[in-house]
Amino acid sequence: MMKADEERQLIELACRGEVEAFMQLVREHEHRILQLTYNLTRNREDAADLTQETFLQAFRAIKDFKGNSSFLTWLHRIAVNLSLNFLKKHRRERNYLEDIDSLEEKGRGEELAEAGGIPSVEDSWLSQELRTNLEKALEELPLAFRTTFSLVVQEGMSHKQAAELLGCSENTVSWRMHEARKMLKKKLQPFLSIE
Amino acid sequence: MRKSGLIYLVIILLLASFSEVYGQGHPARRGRNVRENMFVLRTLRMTQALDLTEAQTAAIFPELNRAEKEKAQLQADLAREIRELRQLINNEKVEDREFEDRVAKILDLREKIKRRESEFEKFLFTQLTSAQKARYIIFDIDFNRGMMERMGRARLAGKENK
Amino acid sequence: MKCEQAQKLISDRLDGKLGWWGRKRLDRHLTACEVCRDYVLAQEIIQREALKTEEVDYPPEWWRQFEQALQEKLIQSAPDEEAISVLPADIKENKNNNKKGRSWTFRPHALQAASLLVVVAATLFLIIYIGRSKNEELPLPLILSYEDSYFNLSQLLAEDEEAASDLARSLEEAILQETIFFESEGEFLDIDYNYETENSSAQPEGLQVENINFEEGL
Repeated sequence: MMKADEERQLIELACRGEVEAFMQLVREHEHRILQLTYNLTRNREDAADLTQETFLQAFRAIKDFKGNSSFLTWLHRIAVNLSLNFLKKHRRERNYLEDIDSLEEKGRGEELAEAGGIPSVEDSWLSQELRTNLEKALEELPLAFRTTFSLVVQEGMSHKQAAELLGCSENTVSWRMHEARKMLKKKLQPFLSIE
Repeated sequence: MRKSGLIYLVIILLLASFSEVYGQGHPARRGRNVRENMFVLRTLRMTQALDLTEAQTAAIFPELNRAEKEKAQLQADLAREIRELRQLINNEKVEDREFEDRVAKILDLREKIKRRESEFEKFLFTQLTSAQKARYIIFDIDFNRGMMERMGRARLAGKENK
Repeated sequence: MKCEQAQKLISDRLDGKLGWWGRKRLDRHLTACEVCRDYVLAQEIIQREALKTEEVDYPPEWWRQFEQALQEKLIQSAPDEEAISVLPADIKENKNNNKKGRSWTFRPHALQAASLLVVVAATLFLIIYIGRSKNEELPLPLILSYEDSYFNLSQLLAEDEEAASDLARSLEEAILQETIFFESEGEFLDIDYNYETENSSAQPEGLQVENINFEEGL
């Protein structure tokens, strides 16, 4: 892992247009950014494209990096913005109103009743089914929920950090996490209970 | 009806009087504009951030609506004055007196907006607990920042569509 | 405390956001509520599985090609001698590589030009957006009152009707989202945003929206 001093020097060189210096920064962070864009898009090819785009934009804007956050955080922000714009444009998510309607149809009472039963992942087949269906459920989450969930759970961001990246309040992040978890549980209930 | 459900019903009913708040003397438009939407969103978020009770909502909302009506009109007047001033600035035939009057009017409008906002916040604080006052400060900062960031994204979207 | 509220606190606790008082309230509820205890277990399992996110990675050769393609694009965007001189000769010549793989290794010229335009537009956004997110000094909106912030915003948008429309639309989406989120009875709030307002003879402000499009937004 690169030391802070070394990173600072490379950033200064990159600000002067030195491509090789910037490429060293790229090599340091490319895996992390690819993982982030993959977590958001759930598509390898798109993640690769967005990773490249992230670094292209970072190079063009590097003179504006003032060092108030870490370089990785700054890259994160670029990657999240690009990924969100990409996802919104390509509309891969389902309409979230449909999701909300389908939840409301069933009603809370039924949902609470279904919450009974002791979840278990002792059975390896059940675990694999859970894993597969969790991926599917995450992909089916509406964009706002999926992004928020991905940043908070998979990227390990605090609500405050996620709110800053997404341009919303912490309260909104908090509610989205709650709603996302409810939706995930609903979709994954068959794989969480034992007969 | 549960407490939170009643609160939101109250919000909807109060905000449904939009046509009264914005219709009288407010610039012509169809549908909702930025000012209106900001007001609704801010009110929703403030209610949630401060966790207002029914009693507080009933006490605060009428004054909130009144203040919004007055401030919206003042902001509209201010925007119009500034628009006219922009047109005047490059006109060499305009006398100093005209500039003085315009500037005085603009400063007066800004002062009135500040005063009205301050009046409302003083009133609001008489209705809040200490914890709610603290939450209001933070909410205000976060909301303003969120709006500017949202505007930045909207401007980018506008550029990309051109 | 109702279960819906408890489940919200459970979510906050999983994210490390629950304070002392919230934890006390939640623990008290969980002592008496088996449904929510099961909810906790279910969410902990989901959380654990979600953390085992698929690690995406590629072999070294893929990364080499990725870095080569990126380097070429960086050189194209910064064509000064110092930048170019550090590259090996084969990279400068290898611009029309037709190797099988993702489109970034052999994008057609028209798409390259389009990509550059997008990058420039996005850079302008970054210069505005990131320039405002400094931690050491409060950006202007943070130290202004709501009305001052609104005034600044309206002045900026007065020159950009399309951005004003987009902003109004995004605010409406946010209103819809938050009204649905916070309604705890399970009923969809039927809000009519298409009310008619009175016209006046005053000039329009330019901050208007004509169509309300309830698309999801952030």
